[in-house]
Amino acid sequence: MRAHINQRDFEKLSAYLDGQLTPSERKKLEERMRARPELRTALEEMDRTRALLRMAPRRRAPRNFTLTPAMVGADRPAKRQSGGFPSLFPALSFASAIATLALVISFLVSPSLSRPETTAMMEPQSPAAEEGFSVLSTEEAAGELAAGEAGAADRAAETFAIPEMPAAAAPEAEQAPEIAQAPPAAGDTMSDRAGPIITWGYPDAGGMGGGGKGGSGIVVPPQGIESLQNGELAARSAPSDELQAKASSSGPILGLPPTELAGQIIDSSGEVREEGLLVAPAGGQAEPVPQSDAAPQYEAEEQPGAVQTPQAMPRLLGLPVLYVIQGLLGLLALVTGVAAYILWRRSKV
Amino acid sequence: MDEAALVEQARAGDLNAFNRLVLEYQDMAFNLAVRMLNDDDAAADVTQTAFLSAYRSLSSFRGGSFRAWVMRMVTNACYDELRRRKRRPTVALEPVTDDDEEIESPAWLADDSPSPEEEMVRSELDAALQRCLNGLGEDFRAVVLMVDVEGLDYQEVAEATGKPLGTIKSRLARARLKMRDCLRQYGELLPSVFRLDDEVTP
Repeated sequence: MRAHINQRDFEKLSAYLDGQLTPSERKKLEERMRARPELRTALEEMDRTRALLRMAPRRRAPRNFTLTPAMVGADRPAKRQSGGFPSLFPALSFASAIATLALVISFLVSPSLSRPETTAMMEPQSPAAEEGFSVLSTEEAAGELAAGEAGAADRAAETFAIPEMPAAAAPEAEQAPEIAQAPPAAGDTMSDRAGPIITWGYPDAGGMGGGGKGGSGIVVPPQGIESLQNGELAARSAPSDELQAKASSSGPILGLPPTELAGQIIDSSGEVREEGLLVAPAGGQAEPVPQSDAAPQYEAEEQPGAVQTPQAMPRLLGLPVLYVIQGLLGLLALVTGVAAYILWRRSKV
Repeated sequence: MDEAALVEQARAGDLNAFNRLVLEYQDMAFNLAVRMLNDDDAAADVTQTAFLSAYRSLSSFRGGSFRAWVMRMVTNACYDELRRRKRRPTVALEPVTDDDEEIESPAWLADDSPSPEEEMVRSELDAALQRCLNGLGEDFRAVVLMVDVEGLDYQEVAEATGKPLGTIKSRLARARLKMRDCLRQYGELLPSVFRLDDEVTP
C-alpha cells in the first residue's frame, strides 16, 4: 500500500501534520485521504514518529555557556588571524628570512661574479690591457699572428686570465716596454706554471702572472704590441660577448675549469713556453721567477700607480648590476620586516 | 525578558545582555548539538563555540528569530565538527567485531560504564531514537531535530540552515519517513501506544 504513496504525497502529509498547508491544499489532501486509506495510515505513522521524536529526552546543558570578557577578548586576535590579511603574517616573515638569506648569499657570491663581468666590460675600453693579462692569446698571436686564432685562443685563455685583478696588467702593457719587460719572467716560468694551473685549476695565478708578464715579455718589440693590439682589437670585438658568457659559465670562477679548457691551457702554455724560450730569452733576466708565479694579486697591488685606477673601475662597473640587486634585496628584507612588525603589533591589540 | 532589547544591547557590546540570551537558549543549543554529534563533550565544545561565534558575528544579525540565529551557529559548528571527524576519524562510528561485522546491539548503547544520570537519560527509547537519528544524513538530521525535537517552525529552520522552505519541507518529510522505518525495528522497545506496526496489520 505504501508503495503507492509518492514522495510528494509524503511531503504534503508532513506539512499537513505541522499545519503548513494552505487551506486549499489541506482541503484537497483531506479529500484524497478519505478516498485513499493508505494515505491516512501514512499520516498516522508519521504522526506517531513525530510524537516519538517529541518525546525524546531533552538534555540540559551540563554547564553554563555564558561568555566572559576574557573569552571574548582572547578570541578577538584569533578571529583576526583567521581573516585574509593577517594570514599573510607567516608568509611575510618567511619572505623576510629568505630575502635576508639571499642578501647574504649575494654578498658571498658577488666577488667571483663581478670579476668576469668587469673584465668583459673593460675590454672595449682598454684592449691593450687585455693584451697584457691575456697571456696565452698574446703569445699565440705572437707566434702565429692569425687574428682568428688569436681570438679563439683569447677566449680560452681569458676564461682563465680574467678573474683576479685583470686590470693590473693593463698599465704594464700600456705604459712601456720597460714595464713590459718585467713580465718575461713569466715566459720563463710558464713551464712551471703549467702545473699549478692545471692541478689547482685556479686561473688567477696563471692568468695574472702570465698575463701581465708573459704577454709583454714576449712582445717586447713595440710594433709587436701594436700589431697584436690591432689584431686583437679586430678579432676581439666579436668574441668579447662570447667571452663574457663563457667566463661566467666556465670553471675558473670556482677554480675548476672544464676539461676542454684545461686542455687548451696545457697546449697554450706549451706554445707559450716555446715562444718564450725562443723569442724572448731576455725575459728571464728581467724579473725573478716567484714574483710572477706566486702572487700576482700582491704584485698588482704593489704597483700603486698601475693598479688603483683599474681596480676601482671593476667595482664601479659592477655596481649597477649586483649592488643594485643587493640593495633591492636589502630593501625587500626591510619592507617585509616592517610589515611583519606592523602585523605583529596589530595582532596584539 | 524583551529578547529584541537584549539583542540590541548585546550588539552594542553589553556582554551581560548577551549572556542572558545564552542562558535562555543554551539548553536548546546543547540538546541539538548532542543529538547531532552523539557526544556530550564535543557537544559542549560546539555549544560554547557557537555562542562565541554568535557574539562575534552579532553585527551580521539582521533581526528575525534570534533562536533561529543561535541554531544556525550551533548547526554550523556541528557541521564543522563532523567534517573534522571525517578528516581525522578517531573511533569507528559503528562498532564492529574482529571480522568487521557490525554489532547488532552495541554494548555502548546499553551501557558503556555510564554514570547513573546517563543511565537514566539513555532510556531504551532514547537509545533507539538516537540510533535512528545517527542513520540520517546530517542535513536531514538537523532539520528533523530542529522541527520535531526543538519545536522550531519551518521558517526558523530555513533561516538556521540557509535553505529555502521547499527544501526544508522535503528534507523533513524524508527524515520522518526514514525515522519511521528505522523505529519500526525497535517496535517492542517502544511504548505500546507508539508501536508503528499496529496500524499496518489490519
